[in-house]
Amino acid sequence: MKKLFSKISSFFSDKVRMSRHDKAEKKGATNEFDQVVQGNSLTKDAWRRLRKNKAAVVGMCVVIIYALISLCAGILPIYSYEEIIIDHQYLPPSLTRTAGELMMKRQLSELYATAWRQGRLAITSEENAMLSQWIENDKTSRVWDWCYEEGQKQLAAGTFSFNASEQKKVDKLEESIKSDIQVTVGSIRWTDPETGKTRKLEKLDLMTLVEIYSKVLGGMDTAKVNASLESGVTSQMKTEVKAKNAEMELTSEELDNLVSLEIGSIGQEGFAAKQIALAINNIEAMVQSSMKKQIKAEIKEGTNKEFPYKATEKMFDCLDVQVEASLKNQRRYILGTDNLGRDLLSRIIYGGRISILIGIVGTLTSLFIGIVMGSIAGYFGGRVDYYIMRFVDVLYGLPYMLLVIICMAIFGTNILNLFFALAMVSWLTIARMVRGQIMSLKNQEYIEAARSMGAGGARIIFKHLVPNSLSVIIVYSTLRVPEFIMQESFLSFLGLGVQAPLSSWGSLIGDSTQGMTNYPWRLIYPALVMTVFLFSMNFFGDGLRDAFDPQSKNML
Amino acid sequence: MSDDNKKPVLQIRDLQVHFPIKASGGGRKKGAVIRAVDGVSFDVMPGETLGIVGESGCGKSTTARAIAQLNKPTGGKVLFQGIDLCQASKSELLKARQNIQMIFQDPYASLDPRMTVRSIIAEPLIIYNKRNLLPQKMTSIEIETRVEELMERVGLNKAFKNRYPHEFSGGQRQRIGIARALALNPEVILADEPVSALDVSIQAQILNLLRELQKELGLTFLFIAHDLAVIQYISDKVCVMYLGKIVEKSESEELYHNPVHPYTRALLSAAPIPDPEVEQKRQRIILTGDVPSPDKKHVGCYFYDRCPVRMEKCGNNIPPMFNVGPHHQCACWLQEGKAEIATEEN
Repeated sequence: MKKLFSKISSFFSDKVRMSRHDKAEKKGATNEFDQVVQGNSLTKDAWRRLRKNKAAVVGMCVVIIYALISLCAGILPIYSYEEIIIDHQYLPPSLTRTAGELMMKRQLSELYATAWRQGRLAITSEENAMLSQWIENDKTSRVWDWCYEEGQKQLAAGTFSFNASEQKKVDKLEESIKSDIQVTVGSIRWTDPETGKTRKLEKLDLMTLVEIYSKVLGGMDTAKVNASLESGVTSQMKTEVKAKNAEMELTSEELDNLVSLEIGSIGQEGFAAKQIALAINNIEAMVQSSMKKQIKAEIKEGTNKEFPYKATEKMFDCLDVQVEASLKNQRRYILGTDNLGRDLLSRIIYGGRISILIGIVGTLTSLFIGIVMGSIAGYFGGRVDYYIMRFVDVLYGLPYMLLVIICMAIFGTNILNLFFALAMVSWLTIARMVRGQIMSLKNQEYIEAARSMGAGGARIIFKHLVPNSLSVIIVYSTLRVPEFIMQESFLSFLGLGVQAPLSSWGSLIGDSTQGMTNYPWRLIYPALVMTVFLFSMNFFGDGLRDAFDPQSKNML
Repeated sequence: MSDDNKKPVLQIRDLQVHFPIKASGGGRKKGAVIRAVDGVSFDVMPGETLGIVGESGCGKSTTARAIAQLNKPTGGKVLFQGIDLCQASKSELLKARQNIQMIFQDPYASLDPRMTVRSIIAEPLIIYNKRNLLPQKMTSIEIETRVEELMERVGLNKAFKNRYPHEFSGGQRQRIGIARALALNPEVILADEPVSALDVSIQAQILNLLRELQKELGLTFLFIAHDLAVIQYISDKVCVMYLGKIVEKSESEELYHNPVHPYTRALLSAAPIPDPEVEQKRQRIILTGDVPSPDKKHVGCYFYDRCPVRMEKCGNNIPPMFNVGPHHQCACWLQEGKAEIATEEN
């Protein structure tokens, strides 16, 4: 028995040893002491040197943090970047105070300032002179702040009181701060009363939509609803046609003719599609407003609802609506809001997403084109090289920004075109650089060795030449990313880049230039965020360059 | 070693490699060429080592590279197993290259610094495997074992196969280069100054390794060096080149004891002798003048300008090869009358 046991155990241990041996074989070679011998590649070496460079490591960490934040933007607890709340225009950044408190402060300081102008605020003549001085020097925000503090003091001391209309204003604001809710409607699903299946509104046909719409409108006649939709679409198209032919002064007859022509050209299906879109739009709007009414009524009745409120509500018997409601004046805007009451923080995060994306995608596309063109020119030389490089020279001769601007103007301003335009004109430098690298490498003996072994052109280029010039390419491309971001910012600044409601760092900065003195946070924060990113990207790139340069081996 | 009944494995006939000279504008000067190799003919017998020796710039390396078709020859023939490599189609050339591999001069530059030893040695196998030119398809495991086998064969620890070239010494790297050249089981190895970049002690190791390999695998070497001692040690036959032309070829022993051509004599007299007494008595033949520029066409002996024993005839007539002994030929008009003109069979 014992013998058997030891046999079995030895069998298993053998097996284990064998499998371990196999693994070692696969993973790496082992020497006579059964230690795995690992090679030390140049890339590994560079990585080790990079880690010793503090500035580069910090830069790399910052870049990674940025990348993580913009990747996770969707799940971060931030407000929507495109939600417009008109009441929240130009709220200054504040960590502690809610939007409501800020609005109240603004209202109060406005009232106090008016009171000061009317002479109802008891102040000394010196203070009066000081305020006038401030106004002369364009420092109105200081005047408001001072008035607010003085007014609060006097109100508390009882030396000043609001008149009736002012008091009414304050009360009204207070009331709305307490009760104003923001309702956002998510997806709306429709339940078929016959089959009990639920479907999204977008997938329904016109007939069902008309029925739903009539139900939403409170049991209106379907024919009437249909007619109203038709006229709605027609008027929509009328405005479109009008906008298209803005420079021609059309008589109403001509306009009608044009519209009917247009309707004929899109055909019945096109018209139906427009009707469907309009119907869905209207239904959504109706649902939102009635939802808002419903919740407000509930609050008035005294139902205690917890906010933010998230639920799927049943409406008009057949619709399941995802509703999100929150007390909008309870929001805190850490970085303030912009001219349409959108949260600057989330706009910066989502803008960073686009800016970084442009940096990366632009670099990758230009790298791809540049490496292929450059290596072909460099390796094959002769006539191929001549023509490719002359083509590059010609493109170099054209003003770069102008080319991009023309591109954007011709193909329209959307993000894909922006990528395309930037990549098209930015591969030139990379192509030249790669060509130079490959020309210097292709006479190396190991390339000749590869040729003598029968390796073809593609193998030599992509297995030997490109990997060996990769260090230069990597360094260049990390330094290239900030350049792309800058260019995109410039284009956005000119209004040719990203279009609202999307944002990018450049467009945020561009938009903020209006009212720069009164609302400086709109300029400062995006600029700061962008600067930090560009800085760290540059440090990172510099670190990479040092790391890949074997001569710096001794210095570090 | 060589046998008269054997057929030569490699026949070089009137090989010419001319490089066009670039004019200052970047275009080509019409007709101006550097005659790096200007009509070289020799045979390489299977299993033997043919040494090519000569001073810098005499076209030794260019000859080897022209044979491997790394520089396209501008004239002449390179016959390998009856196929003229200069005219061969791509696929024929690939097949032939399998049997003609090179060992390069600089072990620091001839290995791709981004590849591991394993992938360097396996590269020819992978390329030929992909093109289905190997006797039979190899799996990746077979390639792996072949790589290990090669590493052991050239005296490298197979544990180092994951290392990169920069982690090795010069001698070890040259061993990697040799392993790579052996990977496809070639018949001929063109060794282009394989030891001149190494220390003397390591030179001996590499030379012994090459000798052993030759014995075991029956390899044929075309061995290029500028070091006379190295050539004497390794070669069965020696060709002496001057200005892109072979001036003397002979069996190694014979050449070193009985040099005929004035250039060979001068060359041999320049080599130091490792014996102080003999060395002191050594009489050097000192050549005057410089090597003429290889860009002009010669009408007479290539060595005419510097020859200490030149005659009038030498200036206008290119000397043919004279048979001065068995397997010993020399291109010098001094031999006229004493010896017959050698005939070349094709």
